[in-house]
Order: sequence, then structure tokens, then C-alpha cells
Amino acid sequence: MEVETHKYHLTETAKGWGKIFLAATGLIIFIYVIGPLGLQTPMIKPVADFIEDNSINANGYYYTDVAEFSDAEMYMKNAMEYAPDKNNHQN
Amino acid sequence: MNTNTQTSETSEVVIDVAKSSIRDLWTKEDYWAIWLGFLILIFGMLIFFPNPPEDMNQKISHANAIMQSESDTAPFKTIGWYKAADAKLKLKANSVGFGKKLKSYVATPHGWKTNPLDSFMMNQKTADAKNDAARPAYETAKSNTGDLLRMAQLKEAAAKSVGFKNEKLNTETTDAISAWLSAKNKASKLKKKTQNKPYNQLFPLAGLCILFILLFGIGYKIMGKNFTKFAKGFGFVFVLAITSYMLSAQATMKAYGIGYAAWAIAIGLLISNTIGTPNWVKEAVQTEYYIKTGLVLLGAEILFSKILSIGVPGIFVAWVVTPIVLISTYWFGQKIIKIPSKTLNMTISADMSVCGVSAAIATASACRAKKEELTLAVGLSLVFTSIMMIVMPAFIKATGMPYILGGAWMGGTIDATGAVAAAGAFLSEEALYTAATIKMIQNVLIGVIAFCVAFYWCARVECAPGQRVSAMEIWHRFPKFVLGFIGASIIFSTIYGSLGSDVGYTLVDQGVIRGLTKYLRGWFFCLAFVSIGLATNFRELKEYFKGGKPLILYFCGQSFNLIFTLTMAYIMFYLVFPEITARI
Repeated sequence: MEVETHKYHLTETAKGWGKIFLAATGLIIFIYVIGPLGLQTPMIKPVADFIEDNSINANGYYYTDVAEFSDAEMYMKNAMEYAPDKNNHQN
Repeated sequence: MNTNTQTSETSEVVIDVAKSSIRDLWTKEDYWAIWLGFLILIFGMLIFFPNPPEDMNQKISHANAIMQSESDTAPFKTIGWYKAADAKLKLKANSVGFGKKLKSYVATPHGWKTNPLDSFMMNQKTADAKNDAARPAYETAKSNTGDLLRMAQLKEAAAKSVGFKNEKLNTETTDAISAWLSAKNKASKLKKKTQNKPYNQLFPLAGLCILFILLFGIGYKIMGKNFTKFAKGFGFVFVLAITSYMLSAQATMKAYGIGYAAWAIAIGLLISNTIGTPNWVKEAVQTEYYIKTGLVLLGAEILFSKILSIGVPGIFVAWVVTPIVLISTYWFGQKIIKIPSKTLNMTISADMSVCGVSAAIATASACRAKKEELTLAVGLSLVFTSIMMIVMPAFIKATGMPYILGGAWMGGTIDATGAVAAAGAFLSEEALYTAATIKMIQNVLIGVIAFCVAFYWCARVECAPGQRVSAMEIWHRFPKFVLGFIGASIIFSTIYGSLGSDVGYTLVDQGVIRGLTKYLRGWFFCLAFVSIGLATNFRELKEYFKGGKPLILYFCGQSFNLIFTLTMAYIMFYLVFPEITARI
């Protein structure tokens, strides 16, 4: 009985490691083959290229995780506080 | 909080009677999250506040004086105006002295494309090769920027020579300045690619692991648990967190917007559902401890003065639409779809209407949602974010929608903050600035929503039908870490306000937050997501998705959000406040 239980555990562990190996293989295929292929589709490619060229952290979860947000905030603040008055220069 | 369960003999309704005691201050993880969070925040202030960039105040005054004078002189933002604004942007406390070094000690693994080792180390030879490869493109962009600047200067001089009264010359000048700015930004990005330096992230990561063991372990020990067992298991959890960050830093994953949260949950789930989470690791699987500490740090990033960044239209789009969408979605989930779990309903509603993962974490913690519910909400958000990041800019372009309107629309609806930046920048600078500002204002709403949800749950949801809950009872039940979260927000908002927005930007935003706490907050959330994965069973997770109700809720809520946000953005930016739109 004990030997059988031991055997069962060994089989389950082997199965578990097998699944991890399969997942790792799938991940490698996704990173190096499927993922880059998907990025070549006409709708995704321009955005994907843009993200890479501009080093945008598209994975950021909060505004402090993304550098563009601090630039945007300062720009808006300056634009609102030091806005040129168009009416002063009209003919 | 101690919770005793009493059963009424007549009705058999289970009523929770909560108690608090002074011992909770050192025996409950809610309080430990507050102590640890504030310890880190105080450390950050001690590092960054006494070490501002050289001549900070003079440089800020000088830049502001130039912008004021330029805005008085010309009817548009001149080259001088933009150069002064740039000078202020460069003032960052995390770019000088020890603050600069500190960032490298707490940073996450670097980006990589084909070799995962690049995430942890790079030698001088590889760095030089990368710099050499990037240099030709940078040199071309630099030369182009110089040409466009000279062109813009000529145009501006011509417009100035007639006192800026010739509309045609003014328009030509603003177009030339826009072209220069666009080229300058491109050149700036390319310049960064020529500035690679060798690094070895392994030692700082090992140091960080030890620091976290001590930080969390001491609290763990005082709470009466086993420090040694925690320390043993923590190494494993931390390695999985590093792996999650490493995978999210891969170029293709970045393009798809698959962040560390998704990887952390997936890796944890894979292990727990295949070989099983080892027993010696389980002591370090402390989801709530990590999340609550991370949330206290997140509180410091919720700076209330930022809600006025884009004036009244921003408040309407982000602070009026969002709560209405949140409440409507929650109501829809309860009354129409009839989602059995209120906590799942609330977590998905907040995650969809506010800002994805960070809102899901804060709300789920505030209403004590189950880890499977948080996982489901985060998963839904990540899938829809990836789709919306691609589809929305394409739709805006195809329909010829004004980019400022499109930016406001995307900022109010795309969940993940990073995806908002990518989608906005893909359209134009103005779209990026509008989208990012709206999203930032919406991000700030998390604090209020978490507090309200925690209060509502204590006062209304977690009680028997008809039961009246006293103020003391609400206090006993209230998740105390939320007080740390709100407290950090109020304290940092006050400091930010008293310093003034320019100095606040330099010392708080670009010092304590972006130089230290945002990294630690990210690590703590990542550890929490790994822990969620390690403690979750696929079969249990499947149960929550039964009938596809969460998906229907998300889809319907997001559809309403898209329509309502677009309508409000159009009314505010184009009908009620067109003068604010003109300033952008």
C-alpha cells in the first residue's frame, strides 16, 4: 500500500514537472515565434513599433510608472498657467 | 480587529461582532502595513528633501519668468516658452546625488529583446555595441532637429517682426514649432538608446531580497509568527517576482501590454496547480501583507492637487463620469446580471471604470474580495486593455475625431495607465498630454473610491438585513490599512501643496515617489500577485467565471463607459470649455 502511494506521488510529481516543461516550451515559442508574428499584423504593427521606438512603458499600472505622464502633467500645468493670450495680438 | 461570531437563537442570522484592542497596533498586519509603509516614506523624505538639484529655486523662477514673458509677448507658445518648460522638466531630485544611486538599488530588471540575461547584466562591450548601433539614427535625428529649430526660429522672427499680427505667419510659426518639438522628442528618445551603460542587477536584487525579508519578517515575528520559516520561503517568492518582472520587460510582451501582474499570477498558478506550492514556501505566501503595504505606498502617489491639472473639463470627465459608471456597473451586476458575489461585482466595476490593476487591488482590499476575484478582475482588465490600446487609436484616426477629444476619451476609458500613454502618444503630442492628464486625475480617484467602498462594506454590506451598525462598530470593522493609505495621500498632498507644484514636482514626484516608493510599491504588488497565484486552485477560479457573468459585466460596463465618457468629453472640451481646449 505504502509503495503504491509512493509510486502515485512520484507519477503525480513527474506529471507536474511535465506540465511545467510544456508551459515553459509554450512560453518560449510565444516570446520568440508567435508573439513577434502577431506584432506583424497590419493593425498591431504600427502601435507595437511605436511603443518600441519610443520606449514607452505600456505595462505601467499607475501614472507614476510611466515617464510620459510627468511630461504631460508639467506641460498641462504650464499650458494652463502661462497660456498665451490670443486676443492681445489680434488685428 | 477581533471578530466574534454570534448566532441569534430566534432568527439564526449570523452577526459579526468586531472588537478592537490596543494590541492590534503590533499584532495585526493592517497596522504593520501602515508602519512599514510610513517607515519607507519617511526614509524617502530624509533622502530626497535635503538634496534638491543645484539652484533649484532660481532655475524654477527663471523658467517661469521666461514663460510668463513669452506668453505676454506672443499669441502662441514660442520656442523660448518650450525651452523654459524643458528646463523645469529636467529638475529631478532622483537624478542627483544618492537619490540617483538609490534608484538603481531598488529598480526592477532591465528591458530585453532576445537574451533574458540582458535583463540582469550587461558588460561594457555589449553596451558599446548597442550604443554604436543606435548612434547613426540619433545623429540623423539630431541634425534634423537642428534644421527644424533654425526653421522655426526664422518663422518666429518673421512673425515677431510684425508684432505677431499676421495670422498666416503665426500659423506657419506654430506649425514649424510643432515639427521641431516632434523631431526633438524623437531625437531625445534616440539619444537614450546611445547611452547604454554596463550594469549588474544581480547584487542589488539579492540585497533587495534581504531588505524585504527583514522589513516584512520583523513585523511577522512581532505578530507572533515564525520568522525563520518566512525567510526561507520568501526567497522563492521573490525569485518568482523577479521572473515576472523579467518577462514583462521583454520587448514583445511590452508591445502586447502584458505586465508583471499577469506573469506573477500565471507563474504562481502554474506552480500551485502542477507540482504544488512547496510547504516550505507557504509561510511566505502573504498576499494581504504585501498588498496592504504596497497600498500605503500607493497612497503617497495620490496627490490631490493634480486633479486641477486640466481644469474643470478634466474633473467632469474623470471625477464625474467615473463614479457614475462605477455605481451603474455595480448596480447592473447586482440587479440585472445578478452576480452572486458582491465583492467580485465591485472589484470588476472599479477595475473597469477607474484604472485597471491598481484600482482592482485597492478596491478588492477595501471590500475584502477573495484572491480569485481579484485575479479574475485583473485578467479581464488586461485582455480588454490590450484590445483597446490597438483599436481605439485606429478608430479615432479612421473617423477623423479631433485628437484632443480622442485623448480625453482614451484617458477616461482604457484601464491600464501605460496603455493610455502608448495609445495617446501614437496619435499625437496633444492627444498624449490630454489622455495622460485625464488618466492621472482618474488615478487620484482611487483613494476616495477605496475609502468609500471600505466604509460602505462595513456599514451596509457586511451586516445582517435590517441591522443598524453603530459608528463604533464601523470603526472596529473598518480595514485599518485604508487609513494608512488615505493618511499617506493627505500628508503627501499637503506637502506637495505647501512646496508649490514646481518644487513638489522636483522633490516629491521626481524624488520620493519616482526615485523610491513607486519601485517598492511595484515589488510589493508583484509579491502579492505571485502569492495569489501560489495559493489559487484553477478549479476554484473556474467557479467564479461560471456563466461568463464577469465578462458580460465588464463588457456592458465598458460599453457604457465608452459612450458616456465620449459624450462628456465632447461637451466639456468642445461646447462648454473650448478656451481650455485651445490652450492645449
